[in-house]
Amino acid sequence: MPRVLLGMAGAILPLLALAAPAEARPDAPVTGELPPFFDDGDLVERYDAPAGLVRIHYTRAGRHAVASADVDEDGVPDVVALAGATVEEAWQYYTETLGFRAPLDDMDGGGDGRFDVYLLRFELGADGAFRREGCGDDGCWGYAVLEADFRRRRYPSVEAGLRVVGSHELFHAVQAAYPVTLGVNESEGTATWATESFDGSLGDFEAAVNGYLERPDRSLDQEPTGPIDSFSYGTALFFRFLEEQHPEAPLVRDLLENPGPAGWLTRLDQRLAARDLPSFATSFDTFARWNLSTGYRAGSEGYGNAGAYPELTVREVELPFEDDAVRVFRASTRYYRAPVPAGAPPLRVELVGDDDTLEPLTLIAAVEDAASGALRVTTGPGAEGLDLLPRSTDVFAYAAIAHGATEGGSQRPAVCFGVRSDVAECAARLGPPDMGAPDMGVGDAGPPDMGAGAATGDGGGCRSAARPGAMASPLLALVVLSCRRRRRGAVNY
Amino acid sequence: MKRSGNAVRTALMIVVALSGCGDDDGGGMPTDGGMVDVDGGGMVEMDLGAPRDVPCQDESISTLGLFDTVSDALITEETPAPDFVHHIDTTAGGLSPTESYVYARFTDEGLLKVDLDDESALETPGWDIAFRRFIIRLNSGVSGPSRVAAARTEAGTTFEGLTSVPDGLTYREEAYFTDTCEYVSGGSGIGDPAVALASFWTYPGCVQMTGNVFVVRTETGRSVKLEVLSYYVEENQDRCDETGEITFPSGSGNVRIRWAFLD
Repeated sequence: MPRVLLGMAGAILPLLALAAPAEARPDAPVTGELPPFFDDGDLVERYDAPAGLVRIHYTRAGRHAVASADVDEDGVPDVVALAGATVEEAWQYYTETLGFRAPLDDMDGGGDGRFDVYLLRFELGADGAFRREGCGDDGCWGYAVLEADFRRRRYPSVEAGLRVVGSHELFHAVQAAYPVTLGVNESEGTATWATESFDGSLGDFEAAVNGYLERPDRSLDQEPTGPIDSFSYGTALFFRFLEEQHPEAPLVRDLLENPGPAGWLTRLDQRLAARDLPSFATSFDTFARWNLSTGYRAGSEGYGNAGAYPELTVREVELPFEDDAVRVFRASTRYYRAPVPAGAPPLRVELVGDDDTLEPLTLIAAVEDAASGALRVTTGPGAEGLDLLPRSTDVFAYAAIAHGATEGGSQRPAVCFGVRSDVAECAARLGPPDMGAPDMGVGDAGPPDMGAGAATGDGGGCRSAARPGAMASPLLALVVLSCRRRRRGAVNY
Repeated sequence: MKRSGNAVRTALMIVVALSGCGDDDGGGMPTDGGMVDVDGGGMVEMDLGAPRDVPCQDESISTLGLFDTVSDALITEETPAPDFVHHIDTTAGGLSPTESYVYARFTDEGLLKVDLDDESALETPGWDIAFRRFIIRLNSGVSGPSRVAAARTEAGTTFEGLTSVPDGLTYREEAYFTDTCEYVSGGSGIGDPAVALASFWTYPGCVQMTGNVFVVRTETGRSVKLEVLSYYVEENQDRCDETGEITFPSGSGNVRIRWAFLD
């Protein structure tokens, strides 16, 4: 699959076919090969890397020419030798250190057994691709195409570009060596994870995970329908989480070695159980909690390199906050952040819904210290609500709803977040009819401590209109709905 | 029990802010039933009909990448009635959209923006058409609770030459999910949903205009003739239409439509 450089607004890249036509190679004189490929008249040279695993195909002239520098004067352009050495290093790391299968050789396809890498100049966003050429009972074989000139790409150096893209595409060749069909997220997420595992100094992973951290409300297994998007690469963060949580358990390899008809979330849950590890649901809750502590919020809990990751994108709200039906997809999380009210009163977050709705959900809440940015985090079942006790030095309060199911549709609880009296009123109003439906009178619906002060003292402007009893008026009901939408409109996603 | 958009719809009430709309929305909206807040401060009652549950909402939100925040993108009138030309900012944050569709209604005053977020729009009447990048959805089927439909006119039909609703049109409501909520791709190879207006473009390597002219049957039952003129800035659209290639930056997300009421 191609690596795509994102951010090229307007570029719409077609989904490239997984399998290239048999015998179609970028150096074939007449080719039905996907671009890029060598031009007519290009003199294509070959270089066999030292370990005998990889063959590099390149040209010295034309638009696909590699840099000509040859410092060691061995007759091979340095970048070609570097490409060969890099891919072989990654090969040995994946197979010997991590225990993955080696890419299948192409002998059955009429090749020479070495893994072929073509250095070509990509015209659009991609800078590498692995292309399947043929398949047998054990999996598929193919070849890689890498950018011929990483000087024009956004990598710190040519070497960094080769290490990122070379190891990424090689891992796709490793994946192909297993008789399993991977979705885009699993394929790209684990390939991005593999590169980070191969060389954690490249910085590529830290940038890629933003694709996930800016959309944590999207299910981990929600595939893109169009071009591969940044989210797919960003799911690497989850595989990194698994590795840090369970360093002795090769779970990425487990997924490849244990194919099945179920989706990868379910298959992972099965592998976790087989290794007597916490379930996917439990793991996902921890993942959601760790993600809160990234960037400047990094603290004592979470990823080892959390401070180098981008901050999680959270929805900015004002307290009291409510949403009468927030949609939480499986394997996704909704995050909210609000300024701690003056005087740092006790806060609470509570979900409202029936048992089936709340049972698979987990609540996470936190407060952020103004000076350090560090979070104090607490977690609990979705049905029980969480209390927060901010200190005077805390600046923000957080609430998150994690849904750790491996399959099925979304859950749509109501959420109430604010000082305790407001949350009690909100939960009563949004709860079942016997707890206070919208068209019931104030005396029926309001909790004992709900007074005028609670209704007007926390800003928000719409708070008083949303009080029980007032909803009996259609006109005011319109105002309430309008307010809810304005709150949504203030989101900073 | 949780309150949801269904409860709101049952009450037949929506709040729709219509940018640039006066006290009278002018769109032929019936005036019996619920109440609509139009820009300018007026309240207009409207009969939204029996609410219809839109199927496959989870799938729509997750697969299309829908959002729960209102887009602040603008709709700009470039040519006034009777043959309107409107520019719609469909950039939506870029190639991987981060913003809701831009929702709109056809009215005698022009194409008026309706301030809705994607999730609300799935349960809300009061809009006809929505734009994001090169995808244009109608308020029907799996896309919204109304019955807005579109039909492509015969090949060779020109916008100017179409003066009435032709006989024998086949109207389509939105059905880019199957009855079992499986996604139906538009077949362009770039993953777009098979929306009713999908054939306004083709993809030889860029979003090329086909020049197809459509008849859109609006929520209020009126008929609109519609042609999409561009997706890129004019210079690049011309290049794409002529050569199948574009230059970068492409100026994508600049949709222009020409449209007029046929009745």
